[in-house]
Amino acid sequence: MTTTRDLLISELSKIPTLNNRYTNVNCINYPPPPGEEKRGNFSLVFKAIDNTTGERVAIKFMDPDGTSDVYRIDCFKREPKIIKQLNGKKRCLQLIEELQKFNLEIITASGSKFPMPFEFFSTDWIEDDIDDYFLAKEDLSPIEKLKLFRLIVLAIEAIHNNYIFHRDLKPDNIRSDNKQGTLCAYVIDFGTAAQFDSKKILPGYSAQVGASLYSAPEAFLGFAGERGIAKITDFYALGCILYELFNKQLYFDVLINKNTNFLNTLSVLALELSRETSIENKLSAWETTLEKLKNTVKPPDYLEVGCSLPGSISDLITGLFENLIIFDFNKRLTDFDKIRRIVDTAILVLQNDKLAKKRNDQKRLFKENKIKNIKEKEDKLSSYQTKKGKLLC
Amino acid sequence: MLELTASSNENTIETKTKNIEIVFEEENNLSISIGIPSADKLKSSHCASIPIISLQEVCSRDPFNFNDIIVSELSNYKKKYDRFKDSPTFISKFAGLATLTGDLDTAEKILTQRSDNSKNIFLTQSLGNLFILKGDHRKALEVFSNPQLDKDVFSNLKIAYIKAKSNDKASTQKYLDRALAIDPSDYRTRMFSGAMHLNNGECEKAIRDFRVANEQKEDSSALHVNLAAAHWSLGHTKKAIKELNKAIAINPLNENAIIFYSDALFTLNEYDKPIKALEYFSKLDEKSEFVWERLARSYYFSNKYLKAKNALEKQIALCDDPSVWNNLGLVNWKLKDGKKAISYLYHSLDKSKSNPEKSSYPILNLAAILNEIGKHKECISFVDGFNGINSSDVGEDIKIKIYTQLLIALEATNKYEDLTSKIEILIDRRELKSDQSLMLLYIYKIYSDTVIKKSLAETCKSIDLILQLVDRNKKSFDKDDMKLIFNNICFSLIYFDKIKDAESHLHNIINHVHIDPFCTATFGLYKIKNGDLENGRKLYEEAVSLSPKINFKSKIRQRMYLEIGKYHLTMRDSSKAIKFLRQSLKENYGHHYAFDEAKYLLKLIS
Repeated sequence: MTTTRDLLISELSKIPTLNNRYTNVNCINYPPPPGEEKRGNFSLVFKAIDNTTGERVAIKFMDPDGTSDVYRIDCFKREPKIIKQLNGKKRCLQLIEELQKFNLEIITASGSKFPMPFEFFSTDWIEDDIDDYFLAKEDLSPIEKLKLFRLIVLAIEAIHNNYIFHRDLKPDNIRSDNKQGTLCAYVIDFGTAAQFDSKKILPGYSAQVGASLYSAPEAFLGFAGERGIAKITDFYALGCILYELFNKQLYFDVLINKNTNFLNTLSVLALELSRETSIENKLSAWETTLEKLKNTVKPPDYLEVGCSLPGSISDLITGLFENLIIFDFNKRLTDFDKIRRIVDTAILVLQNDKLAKKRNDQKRLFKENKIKNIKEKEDKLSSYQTKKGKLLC
Repeated sequence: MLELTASSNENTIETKTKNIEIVFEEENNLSISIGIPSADKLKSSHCASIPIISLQEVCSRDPFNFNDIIVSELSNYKKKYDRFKDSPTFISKFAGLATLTGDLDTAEKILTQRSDNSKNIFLTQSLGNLFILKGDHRKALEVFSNPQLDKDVFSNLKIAYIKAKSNDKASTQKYLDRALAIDPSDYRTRMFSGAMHLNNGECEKAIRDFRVANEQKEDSSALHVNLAAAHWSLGHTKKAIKELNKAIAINPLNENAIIFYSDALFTLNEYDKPIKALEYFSKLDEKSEFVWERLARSYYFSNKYLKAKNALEKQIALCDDPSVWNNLGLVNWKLKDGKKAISYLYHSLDKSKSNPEKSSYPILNLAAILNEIGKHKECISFVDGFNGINSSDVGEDIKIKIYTQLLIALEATNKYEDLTSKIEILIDRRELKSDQSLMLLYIYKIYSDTVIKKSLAETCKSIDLILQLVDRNKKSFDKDDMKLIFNNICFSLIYFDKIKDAESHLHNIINHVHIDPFCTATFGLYKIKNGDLENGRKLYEEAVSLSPKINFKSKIRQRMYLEIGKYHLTMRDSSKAIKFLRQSLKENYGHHYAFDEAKYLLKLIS
């Protein structure tokens, strides 16, 4: 059966221009791979050419079959308004055209015609995804990866500086281009973003906002809707991204498998928060519960098997990661300057062969001494036990 | 005054044993643990080889829709497959997502699709892990036995894990040793090695391993439980408790740690200390029967009976076990609801008919309660009818307590012959072997030899035997045991006018005079026998006031009048002697043998 979505996509691919401005309109996120159902996204994204500039643009329609959820529809309508705040700002996605209407002509079985309006807006087309850094990173040097991470930090900082918090950061929502001869990263898809001084779309809406594998714990508990906290959730995602730059597993996968307490703690928090109604009391319950459970939510080790982080910068990057990924948003690192300084230092160490070697030697020596110390203590224990003739127990 | 032991106060809340888990790899889907005995058993074995909220349920229902998120991401990865299929990182992440969704076949397909994957050590390890998850240990072994085994800690540990699972200790040790040789500071290796040492009874080596592991990872709750188990096995109770405190501070949801902590403190008679940890856990997870019963036990021994009752009711909702009904019976008894107590105990008995081990507790408690409310005859017929007492499933500590209740009932109903013959049968049968049981039995024997048989020779023989037991068990017999033993010895010797012999033991009970009614009465008897009637009478009267129960008061008074009467008789003041002997006859709850003695003396005087 042909759905409204199919009809819209087919019509847009057939028409010469969309609203007399956009040509070559092609959907890029539908249909899903064979055997898969369309999931997750509440919008249809098209790639097109803007006839007024000749540049490629991204056009976003609300998926007509996606949802009837008022919150999601309002999010879609809010998205161009949020992106507009970023117009003219460096390292930020630019809005091309605010919310427009496209009237799809529907022909009924009786042959009569009526127009069905669909809303859309358009933004810059950012050419490249950054998947190579995360999915084929064997071919990239640590310096290249850290440089990209630095660009991602700058891109997020740019939107935060304009009081916009993304709340759904993940590698898929970051793209890059090389338009001005230098690589630049941009954050895209502001469907679940929030503006610090904007009102909540639905005051009581406490469902997960932008829940993904990169979502912070508080996002699963409805806190990401709070404007003061929304900003902090982006830093958690940054921590996940940093992990995946050098590790072969998804952070979420490792988190769930290595920290058996993560889900338990999240469930306990959900239970304790559900007993409170006001946000003040919920925040207080969060603090008191985490005070008791703070040790159960330590992140997994960064230096997992398969980690390609050079030893010379492992303490720098591991420290940064641990501060970004802190379970309790109140304690999470949220200082862009500091993050950049650490990344810059790591890049400098890697660029300076002598320094990198020195740090590597120090690490090796430390480990050798540790093993020597362990062996000495073990020998001591063995000789003590031999002296006693038998084990004590 | 002779003192017999065991009332329902001595009975204990039954708890099911739960093995302490020694975890040596904490990963969610690859965790392995060796069950080692509970705190109680560990200590006694001294390191021998060895609508309701439920967190687990809530978590298993995927409350945060993790599955949807993972499936959505997996769909993204499928779109990217053609582009990145040659990248080990992509393959690893893709397989990881498929595994998270539970689609292990897809994960396997992804990991084995390209022959090049086998050259990548990380992908090889992922595939090995996947086979372990699928339970295919043969394939896992094949995968982990890679050419780089001499420098791959992880694969060696995984092989050791598989070997441990199949109880192949020698091979486990071989691969573990190899992992240790590659990196002796590795956390997982040390956890594994420590668990193996603990399992082999090499507790000091285990502690060393766990300490090295602790240097790598200070925030592992499981590690501190392991350290506690090793310390506990060595008898380092304080250190064990300290480690358990750390384990619970790190993870207040660690059921294994909380149960161990509760059991360890219970054996140290520190009943209220684990309450906080148990309460916190049970607030968040109402489905752990082990936690509920330990919470009930802690409340019970901290005299918080109403809370104990509530905890047991929660436990009953989870498991309709005879032991819980037994415990509920006891708690209701403490709450002075005798009717409910007896009905719950009968219910427990009914549910455990076919299991002598389980029925022994309600039998003991019912017997104690029936004795306490004066239904001695019912107690006798009830215990006599319990065939399970001869079963080897019933522990000796419980057996002797049940027999003690029977002896109390026989004594209370003045069935002295039955009492004496029962004691002799039990001694002859040599069924009770522990010194603790023999001690209780010989106390009864002294009682019977003294006041029923009135045989000095037999009494002295029994005293010699019990003194040998004391010599052997100076450390294990507690203060109350010693008081009981020496009070009975002193009474018997004074009774037979062996004052000098008695004096050599009196120092053992002197601290209990003015506190314990029976010791105070024994001292009263000593004074009277030494001619100090006034102070002797004062001590006896003090003993009466110290005694909490009417029948004991009556028995002490009866003995006092009898001894004063006998004193006047020796002073040849027959009128005073008759007066006191007659008074001794008036005590309603007095002993029959004492009545008989008074009557005999009165007859002699007249």
